[in-house]
Amino acid sequence: MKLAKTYSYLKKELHIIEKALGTVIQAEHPVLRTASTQLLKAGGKRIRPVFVLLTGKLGHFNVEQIKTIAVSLELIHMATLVHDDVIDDAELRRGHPTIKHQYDNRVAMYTGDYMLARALESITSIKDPAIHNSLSKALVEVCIGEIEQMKYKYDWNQNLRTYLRRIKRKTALLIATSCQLGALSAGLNQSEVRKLYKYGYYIGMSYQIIDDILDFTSTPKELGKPAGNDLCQGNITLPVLFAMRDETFKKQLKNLFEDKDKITLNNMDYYIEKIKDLGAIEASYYVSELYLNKALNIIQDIPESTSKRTLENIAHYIGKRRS
Amino acid sequence: MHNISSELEKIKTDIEDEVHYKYLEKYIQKPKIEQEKLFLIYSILLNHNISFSKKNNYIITTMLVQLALDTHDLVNNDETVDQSGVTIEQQLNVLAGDYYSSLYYLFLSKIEEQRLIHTLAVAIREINEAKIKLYYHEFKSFEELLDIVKKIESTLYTHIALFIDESTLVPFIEEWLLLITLSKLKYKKEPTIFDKMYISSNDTDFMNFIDTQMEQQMRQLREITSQLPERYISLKNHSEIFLNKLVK
Repeated sequence: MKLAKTYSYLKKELHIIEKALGTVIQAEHPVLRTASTQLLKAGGKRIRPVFVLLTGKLGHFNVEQIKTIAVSLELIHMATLVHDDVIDDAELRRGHPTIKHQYDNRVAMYTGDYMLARALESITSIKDPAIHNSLSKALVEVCIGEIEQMKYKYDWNQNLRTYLRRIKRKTALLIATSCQLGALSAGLNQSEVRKLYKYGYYIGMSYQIIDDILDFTSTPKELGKPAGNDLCQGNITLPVLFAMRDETFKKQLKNLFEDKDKITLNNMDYYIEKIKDLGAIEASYYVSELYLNKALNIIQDIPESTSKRTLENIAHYIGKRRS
Repeated sequence: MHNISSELEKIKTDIEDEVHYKYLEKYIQKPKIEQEKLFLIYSILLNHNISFSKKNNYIITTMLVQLALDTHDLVNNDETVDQSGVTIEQQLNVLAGDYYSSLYYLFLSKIEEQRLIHTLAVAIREINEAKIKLYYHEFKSFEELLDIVKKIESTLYTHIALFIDESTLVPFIEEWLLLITLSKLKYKKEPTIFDKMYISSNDTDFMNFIDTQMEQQMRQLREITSQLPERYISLKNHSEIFLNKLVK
């Protein structure tokens, strides 16, 4: 089953959001407009808008406000992707050429900045300070997460805690914020808002862990980029951390990266196999499962509804995600 | 005057503290706060009827946006890229710019200034539109080129002026910042937006045009300055000193 099937009944609302996204990025300059539109058309799971919609439907559903929040969050996410591709020197994203590759670094920088500006222009139509407090804090943390990711590249002595803090900032916080903003817009009480924030946080942690696993277990076609790409870039993810508990593997890996210029995706194959043989994939799935259980537990007390059931289904789906 | 410079020094330190990030500073240059722009935003707000702390916050956030934009201009299509991809400086300039942008949003959210967040976001959008135009060298004449540069250099500040209902300042801000940029270009004091956009200052025709243009700009600026309300005495004096220096 595909993730999208769990929320297929939101098709109409998601279409409205998609249309709004298309409208918001209509820049005056054709290059900015085309680059942004191409990125939008490349698709994506739109999980942030989905969480905004689902949590927004748990209370008083204000369609205009929800649309604005969802569009802004997705634009922020897209802006970070465009800039990430500059950092990673990436040629492909979701199987399509990146803006950086198709145009160049400068265009990618301006497009990302343009998208972020549009996101802030859009979200400020909402006056509730709580929305801006939450989103701005998350945005700062996302940026810090990206910087910390750079800092810990090739750091073979980092621990599980460092990794978890990094993925919290990189992925979980924006998903948590999506749930929180939807809930705030719906007028839910403080306790419910907090629970949904935590749900999003746990889901985000699990989602990122599985993304990190898939970097080793999926095919390039499924990934839309080469397998082992994260490790090749020096990003030490959970499977690598678990595999490095084996001292011999850790030594081999450290030796390999001593001359970074010699690292290519071709010599990743051996290490990918090793990571699998050492049981690091299963161990990582186990951690992901722990987060998913927490996500399911935390929303137990939320009153029954279609949206709540979908939130639960999403958690179940993420646990089974294999591509 | 002494008070103004010590206050500006204090604000500059506050901004530097705000953007301080040890890991970033290990690899990339500390963001450069342009003295003229800091002075400008300070003077715009000086006589405006808002609290001292609010004023400070407005100045800090505007400068954060300026730093974010400037830092992203340092990310180029570099020839120094090594085999493994992009240099760490390039990568961190991307992240530093994003970080400064996020700080502006956080700063203004804390004081519930949604309207200013919006104003600055509009300015950022317009500046990026202008930058991409300049980057693709989409101008048919030197005059058009200077119009784009004027937009890039002044939009943040003109939007702040409009935000506080001081539209009389807009022509002054535009002409003053353009003249500063042109003088930097002419005397090669420091890199300008022209260098960042690969517009060569070795072109004789272009530099001759700049010379003529600067004279015209100076006359225009004197005229605009003379019409500024008296409450902008510090701007008037400062611009007078600047113009006199240029004449010498």
